[in-house]
Amino acid sequence: MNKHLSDEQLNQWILGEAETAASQHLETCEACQREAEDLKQALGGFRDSIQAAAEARRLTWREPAQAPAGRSLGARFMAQRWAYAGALAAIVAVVVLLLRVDYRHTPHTPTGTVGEDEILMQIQTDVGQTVPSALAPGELLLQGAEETPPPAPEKGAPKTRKPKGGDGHGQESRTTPNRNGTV
Amino acid sequence: MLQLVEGAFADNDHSAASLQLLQNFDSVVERYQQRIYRILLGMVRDEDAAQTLTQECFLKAYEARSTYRGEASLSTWLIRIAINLAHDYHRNRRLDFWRRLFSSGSDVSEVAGRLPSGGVTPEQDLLAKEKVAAVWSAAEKLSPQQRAVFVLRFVEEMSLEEIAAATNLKLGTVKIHLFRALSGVRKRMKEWQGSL
Repeated sequence: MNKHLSDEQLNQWILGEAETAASQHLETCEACQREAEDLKQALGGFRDSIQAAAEARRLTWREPAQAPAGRSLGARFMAQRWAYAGALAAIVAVVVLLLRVDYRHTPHTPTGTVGEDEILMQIQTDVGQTVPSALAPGELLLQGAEETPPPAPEKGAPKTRKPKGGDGHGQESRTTPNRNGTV
Repeated sequence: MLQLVEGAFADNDHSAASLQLLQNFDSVVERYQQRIYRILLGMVRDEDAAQTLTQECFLKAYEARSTYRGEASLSTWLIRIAINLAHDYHRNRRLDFWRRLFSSGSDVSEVAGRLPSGGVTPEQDLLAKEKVAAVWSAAEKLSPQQRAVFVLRFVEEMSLEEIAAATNLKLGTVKIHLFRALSGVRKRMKEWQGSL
C-alpha cells in the first residue's frame, strides 16, 4: 500500500475500526502517522480541556424538596431571569417613550392654544405696567441715574433697555415701545 | 448490598440496583453530575448554561424517577435527558439575545485554555492549546446531533452501541455522524496548520 490513507481510512483508524491494510500502512508511513497522531492529540486535548473545566466548576445539588410543588427549581430560575429581563425591557421602553414624548412636545408648545393664551395674558399684564416686569430691576438703576437724566424721548415713556438675546422677555420689551409709539 | 449499589454505577447498571439507587438520589447526583456537565459543556459550549442544564437534568430525572423502569442503564437514561435539554437549548433560538445578556462571557476559548500544560516547553503548550481551540471551533460548526455523538465518543469515550442507545439513533447513523464530525475537525486542523 503505497498511497497515503484516505480521510475515511483515517477516520476508521481513529474510531478503532481500521482495516488491517490501513493499520499496516500506518506502521510504515511517517506522514500518515504524524497526521493520525496530530488528530488523536487534538481530540485528547479537547477531552482534557472539558474535564479540567468540569473539575474547576463547583456543582451543587439543591434539594428538590425546597422547590414548590409542580414547578422545578430550574424553571423558577429561568422564570426569575425572564422577570428581570421583562423589568429591564419595561424600563428601557419607558425611558425611550419619555424621550420621544419630550422631543415631540418641545417645538410645539409655543404654538399650542394654552401657550398663546398665556403669552397674551402676560402681554396684557405688561401693557398695564409702566415698566415691563423683566425690566423692573433696571428701573431702580434708572431711578438712581435720574440725578443726571438723559434726554427723554417722550413724556411717560418707559425707560427700557434692549435686552440681549431673543427669549420671551425680549419679545415683551419690544412690544412696549410699540405700544407707546402708537398711543 | 454495597456491591449491589456499586454495581449500579457501572454502565450496565440497568436492573433492580438502579431502581434502588434512585431512592438515594443524592448518590446519583454525586456520581453522575460531572459526567452530565461535561457532556452538556461539550454540547452547549457555555459553562454557565451547562451548569444550569445539569441542574435541570437532575431535577427532571428526580421528578421522573418513578417512570424509570431500568430498561436502559441509569447513565444512559440521564445522558438522554441531558441531550434532550441541550437540543431544546439549541432549538430555542429566540432566547439567544437573553442568553448572551445573562452569560458571564466565558466562551470556548476559555475552556480550551484550561488544558493542563503537559508540553516540555511553553511553545508546545501554546501549540497544544491552539490545536484544542481548533477542535472546539470545528465542533461549533457541527449540528447538535453530530455534536452530541462527537462529545459522547471523544469526551466520554463511549462505544458506538452505547452512543446509539443514548441518542436513540441507529448504529449506522452514529457512524455517519462521527465520520462527518471527524472530517470537519480534520478540515479545521488543516486550516489551522496552513495558517501557521
